[in-house]
Amino acid sequence: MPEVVILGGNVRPFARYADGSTPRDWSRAAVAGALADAGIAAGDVDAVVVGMESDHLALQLSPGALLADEVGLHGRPLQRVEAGGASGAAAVRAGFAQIRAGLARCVLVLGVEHAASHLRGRDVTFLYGLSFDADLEGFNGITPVNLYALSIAEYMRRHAVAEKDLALVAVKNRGNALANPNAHRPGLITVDDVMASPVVSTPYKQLDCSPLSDGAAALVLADSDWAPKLDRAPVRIAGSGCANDFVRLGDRAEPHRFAAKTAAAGQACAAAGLRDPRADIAVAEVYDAFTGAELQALEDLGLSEPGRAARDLRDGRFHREGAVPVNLSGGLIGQGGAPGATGVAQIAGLERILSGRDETYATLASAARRALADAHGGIGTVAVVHVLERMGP
Amino acid sequence: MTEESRAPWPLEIAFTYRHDVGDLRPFFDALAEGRLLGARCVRCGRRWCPPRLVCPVDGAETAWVELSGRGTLRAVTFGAGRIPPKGPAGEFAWGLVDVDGCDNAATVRLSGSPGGLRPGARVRLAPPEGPAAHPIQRFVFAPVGEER
Repeated sequence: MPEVVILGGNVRPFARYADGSTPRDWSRAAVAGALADAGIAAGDVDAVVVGMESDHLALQLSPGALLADEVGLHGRPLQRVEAGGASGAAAVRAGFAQIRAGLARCVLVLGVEHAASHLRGRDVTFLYGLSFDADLEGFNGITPVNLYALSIAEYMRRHAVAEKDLALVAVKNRGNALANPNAHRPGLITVDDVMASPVVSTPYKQLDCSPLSDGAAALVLADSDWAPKLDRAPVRIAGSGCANDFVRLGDRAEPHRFAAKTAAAGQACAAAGLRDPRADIAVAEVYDAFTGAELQALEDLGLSEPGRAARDLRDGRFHREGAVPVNLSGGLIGQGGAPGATGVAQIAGLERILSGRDETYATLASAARRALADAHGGIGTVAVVHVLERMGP
Repeated sequence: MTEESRAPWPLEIAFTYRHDVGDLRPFFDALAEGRLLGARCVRCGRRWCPPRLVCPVDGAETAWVELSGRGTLRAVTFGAGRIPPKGPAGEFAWGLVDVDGCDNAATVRLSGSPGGLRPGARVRLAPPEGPAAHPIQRFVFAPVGEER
């Protein structure tokens, strides 16, 4: 099967846009930037995949057709992909699959979301409350933060993890975002800041939560046999995994875990030939919708042993100078959460690090060969995991 | 282009859905009567509340079964919310409840004194009185002894 390499990418700043611009504008800019970064023309693109979560948020049904038209790509296979917060990651996987299957040599993946700037917060909260089991949970007033809170409460009880341990994730990720010009919420904050922020749903406080963001990102994926020669060692998608879980937390045998991540990571790592993610992954982007969700994910992805993520974090393992830096972009907490764009932006950022094109992490690039990108929809309900690998030295 | 001409304009859209709950209706009808129904797998006998119309263990059909309406609180969270979802803001509690006799847990709204809402507390179905914008808003548990 063909190797799939990342020819180029582009991320528009994650933010709450108040300049009158729209997803059409962000999409045009992201696609133009990705094509330029890849050094190819629009005519070279064989197929288009659009990742976007919510038609209701965007006030645009069938957004894939509109956005492909908007960016000037016609007469090609087109699909729109939705997997909640993993919509962007699932779009990457769909593009990867087309190339692996020999259906395309070059795929443009666009991830975009109009999630935050144009609706009242209470309306966004209501709509997101319908993204789990609307009839059996959402209409009873339960929102995403309530479900994540119940899951982490159980996790904290089992593993004796404290609220201050969760706060360390926010401190790390907001700090990492300072080096990311596309980040929505960069900042130097302290554990005390997190602990003093208003309670949203115990144990989560405002600074434990990622912001909802508008944003767009695009990637150009290509068959390595077709791809033009790059002036750098190309980065390939070495493995892609996807798995789902019960939608309702209470139907799961272990509501404090994201079992779908374990399955998806297992698939991706096996495809990449990895035996132990703790030893083989050098840098990771992990779906930190809430601080505790990062700790849960680190364990379920195999980057920490069960119950050890908080201790590993305290020991510095996941900090930017640590053994496995996690969320150098800032993650959702620092970079922001734009569901359709997040998974695409994660991979665009990791490609730049592995290829040595991100000057901030040039030292890391010399040692880092493999990266892991993790995203999920729901509360770990649909997990999509990719393993990236630099080819050559 | 002037700043004023670039200002966004409010766009208000309201829909009225003819919403229904399909084959889950017996569960909601029972809630309206203050009773709790679960679903029992006709093959393996496992019980599910909230109900599952296909058993996730063996794929067999399930049949309705009357439950006691009691359970044990496994996890709880307190926070601001809106019930109905577009109603006024208030302070609420939600919990993960192991319903007696069932193999799964239910995510429910909780009522009663916050001090009584602790993991391990015994709770019981306690639907609020009055109309509900959606029938799931009657899926409320309270500590045993505090239900109305």
